[in-house]
Amino acid sequence: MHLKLLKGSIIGVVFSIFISSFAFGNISDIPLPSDAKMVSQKSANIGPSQSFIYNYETSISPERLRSFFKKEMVRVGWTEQKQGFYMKDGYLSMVVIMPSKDKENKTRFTISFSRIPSKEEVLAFSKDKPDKLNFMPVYPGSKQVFLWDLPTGVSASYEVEKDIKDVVFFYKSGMLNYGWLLVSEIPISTETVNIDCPDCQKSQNKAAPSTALRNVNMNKASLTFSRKGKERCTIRIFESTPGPQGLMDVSPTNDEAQILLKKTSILVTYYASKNI
Amino acid sequence: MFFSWYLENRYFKQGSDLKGQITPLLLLVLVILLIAAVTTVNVGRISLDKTCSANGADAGSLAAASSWAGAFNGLALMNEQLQMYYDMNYYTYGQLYFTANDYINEAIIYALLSGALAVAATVAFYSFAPACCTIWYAMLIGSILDGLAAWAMFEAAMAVSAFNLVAQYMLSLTDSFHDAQLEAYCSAIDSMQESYQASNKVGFSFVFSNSCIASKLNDSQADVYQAWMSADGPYSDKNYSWKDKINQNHSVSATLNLPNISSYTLQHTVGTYSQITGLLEDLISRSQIIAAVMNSTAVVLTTVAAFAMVAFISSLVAALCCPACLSIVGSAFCCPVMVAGCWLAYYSYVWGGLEHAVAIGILVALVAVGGAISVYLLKDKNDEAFEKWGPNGNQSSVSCGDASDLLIVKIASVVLPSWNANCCVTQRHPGTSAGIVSTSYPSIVSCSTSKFSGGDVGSFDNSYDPSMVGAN
Repeated sequence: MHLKLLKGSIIGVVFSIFISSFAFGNISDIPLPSDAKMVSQKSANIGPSQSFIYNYETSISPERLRSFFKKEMVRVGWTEQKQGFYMKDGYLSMVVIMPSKDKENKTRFTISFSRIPSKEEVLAFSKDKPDKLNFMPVYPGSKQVFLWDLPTGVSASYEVEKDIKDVVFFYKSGMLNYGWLLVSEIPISTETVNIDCPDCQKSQNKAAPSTALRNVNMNKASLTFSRKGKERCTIRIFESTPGPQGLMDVSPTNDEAQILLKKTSILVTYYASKNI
Repeated sequence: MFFSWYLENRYFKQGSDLKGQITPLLLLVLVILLIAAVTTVNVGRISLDKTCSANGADAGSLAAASSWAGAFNGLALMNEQLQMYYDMNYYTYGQLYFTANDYINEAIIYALLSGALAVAATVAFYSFAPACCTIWYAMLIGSILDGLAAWAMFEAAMAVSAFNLVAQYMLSLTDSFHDAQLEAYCSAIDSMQESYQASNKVGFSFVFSNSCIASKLNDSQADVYQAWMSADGPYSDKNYSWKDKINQNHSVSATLNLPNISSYTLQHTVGTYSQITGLLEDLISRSQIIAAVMNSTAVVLTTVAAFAMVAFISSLVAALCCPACLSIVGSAFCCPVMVAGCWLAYYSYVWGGLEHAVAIGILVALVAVGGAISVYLLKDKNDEAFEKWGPNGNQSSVSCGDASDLLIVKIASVVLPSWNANCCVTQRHPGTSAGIVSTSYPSIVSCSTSKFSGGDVGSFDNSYDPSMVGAN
């Protein structure tokens, strides 16, 4: 009995240490100036991953601080990427140094830190039964690919095996019931592309029959709605279909190839209000 | 009249005791004294009016400059938020970009691995001649290799699908960032326009309340004047006039030249909003197709692997039954099994397309290599979109509409004709009449200039500070 309790508490402690280290990221991997003092910390959901933001202040000048991070981050194993980003073991961080000093003549800087999610984690957000939205209709029979927060609203993606025209018609009429007004529309446009050879289309009219990734029709359309002045909702619809002498040639008799390719994606960006 | 009487009587009344000879002189002195008194009163009034108009002009220019400087301090704060919001979104976008790139690299590796495994499987199938009563080991090897190729292709398809989702979120983020920054900028323009009007109102209000008008009015006129002040009269009329008790006209008028913002210089991203969203839309469409093709290919590979496995197992069963079938003892049972095994192995070989192993190998290799190339091209576009998100040049903007295709980083500067508020006050009053004759003196004009620039205008330090720089 006692042994069981001890076991349970050990597991509990280990689990809570694991959770707490995960909850606020592993900032100990990032070198800091000796007098750096943390002012605040917060976490934010960025699409599929969680980001941790730490605000510090130090007496070191911005120029010295910049060279400090450039040298020390590399020393502890971070690889410098483009535009001031650093990467290490699937983690990503960025140091932003504020240009002006505060009243006490201290330099403020922010370290943002996040883990890159695996592809399985990203795809796991998919749901066969979409969540109900209170601001717009969801296309019947669609599959919810993700529903993630944005700093100013929501981003949602759906997949449906329907024609793009049907989807456009559905949203044009369905959004009216939610008080939305169509303010701009980019009508359905079709582009036939050679995915693996962008210039082939220009140089030859017919694609080689054996090439699977050629002559694919990409259809897209966009609808922008407005409500109560400030709210906006942009719906972008993407559809890919096999074009003439393109993917059909992979398997002319196989309907499955067509079904797999006839997919319409619906991307919804709901902009509620700027809250900064 | 008195002078003409004197002139007429000075000779024929000589010697007489003429009295009152001083009268004309006294009268002359009286007149001179009267003129002097009127002049003194008028000069005093001029001096008083000059003080009042100068007070009005100083108060007007300083009040307008002060209010306008306050608006610029507010704009500086709004601008700081614009910049902070950009930094936050840029980091978020960068994080998504690196995540997406990770998936692309993974997809390329898996696609190439799948291609290599599929080619190896094809070699195994091709190096084999089907014959009954032999164990088709090549089918087993080919099946395993194709199974692994299918797994690798599924992984590649999953990585491209994950990339597709991240690209969709990047597009949503770009849309929402664009809307938020544009809304903030439009609000800033509106707010500055309102502040400009308010600063003008404040300026005019201070002009008239410091021009000594109230002290010159009787009670009923004072009430009218207060109502006029409360009802934005100074801003709308810019002139106040009244009549005194002897029905003479008085007026005070003002001009206020407060320079408005003629344009804003906006710092924006390298690419325009439409360029970046165009690139992202392209990424989404293409990755959707690539993922679907890879998925289809993986299904084909799995099917081939399954047929190959069936062929191998059938050939094994047939081969095991062959010796027994050839002997007389077990032929009754084993021969049908052997025939069925051979038949199933052969048709699996045919249905699985393994007789055209080369064609399948080429197809899969093409999809794998083509897919890897396509995914690599996505990487290029993803890089391009990220680079276009970086802060770059400036564009002049006079209204909210001309910034609609920009991803705004911040307001780099504001352009005004000058950073001085100039106010002039004109007082027009009649001179004193002294109850005899009406007089007048010229209108009194005073002007004052105040600056509102304060600190560093371009970088939007919130240190706009008004001060008077000149008066005349």
